[in-house]
Amino acid sequence: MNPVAIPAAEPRALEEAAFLAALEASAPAAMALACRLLRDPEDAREVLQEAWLRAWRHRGELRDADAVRGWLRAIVVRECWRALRWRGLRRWLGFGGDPEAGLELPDPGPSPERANADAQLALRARAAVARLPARQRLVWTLRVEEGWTLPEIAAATDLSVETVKTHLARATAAVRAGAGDPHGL
Amino acid sequence: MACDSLARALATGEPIDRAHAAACPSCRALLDAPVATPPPVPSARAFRAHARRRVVRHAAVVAALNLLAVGAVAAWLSGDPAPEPVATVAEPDLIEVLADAALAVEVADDAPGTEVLALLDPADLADLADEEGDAAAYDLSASDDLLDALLGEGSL
Repeated sequence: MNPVAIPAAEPRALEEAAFLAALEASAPAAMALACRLLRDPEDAREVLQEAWLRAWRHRGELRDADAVRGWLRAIVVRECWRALRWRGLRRWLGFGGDPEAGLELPDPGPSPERANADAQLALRARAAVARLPARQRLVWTLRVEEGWTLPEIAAATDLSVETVKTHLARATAAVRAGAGDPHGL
Repeated sequence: MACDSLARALATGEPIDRAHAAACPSCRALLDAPVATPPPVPSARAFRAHARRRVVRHAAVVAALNLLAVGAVAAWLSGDPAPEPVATVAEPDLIEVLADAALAVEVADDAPGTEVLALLDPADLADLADEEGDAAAYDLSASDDLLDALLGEGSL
């Protein structure tokens, strides 16, 4: 009698309740990421709402609740990229204010003169980041401010690692020029 | 001279250490981001209702475009000059009109297999009321592929 090959069972998609619970648990981190990338809570909220819908539509692709966090993170990055491009278009057309316009200096601490100069430099750098093209801004923020690795950024943005490096190098040069501290750097 | 960590970030694009940034005003100035609570995750029912509304809106837009195309072809075949388009679909006004039209659509309920009566003129809706809408019903929820196609990337 020939043995009958039993096909391996397909891993099942997440149950709805488990999926929604995983989304709920990932929400604070996703919101923090969107806030950092967009620097505007209202825009971040809109991005999260769109991310929820996108995640729901593609939930069938997920098999593991533990993967939801990283998966949602990638969705948020792409939605933020979309939002940044819209923001750039609105700015180009002359609509909408710049959420980075109201930057304020933090408390300078024990050595006000030096710390204040550093903070001014940081704020100029931050303003320069806000002026970057959407993709460069995304790559810079994920790398420098969020500490992501280059492969992580590549995976979340659908870019190659080499392309990410190129965007990062251009962004760094632009931020450095915008910060304008030829003596200190 | 800038803080070493900040200077390195600006020179090389290397990450700023979070532990250092917590105690460094200049790094904090670069890293500070607003903090806000995320919007609530919708319930499964709300997700389905939203998906259904999008389906109806897409169906309305597609049908309106088809009607415009048919009208243009008919006018061309009859030798009449092509009518002036009232709007293109990229115009917010038309999208609003179509969205309003979708309000005249009946959705039975959220249960699987529900029938969506799409693109009904209110007058047609009244006519169909006695016939349970059989003739014009689209069972969209029966086809995940169709849903995916309609809900795909290029959404309005």
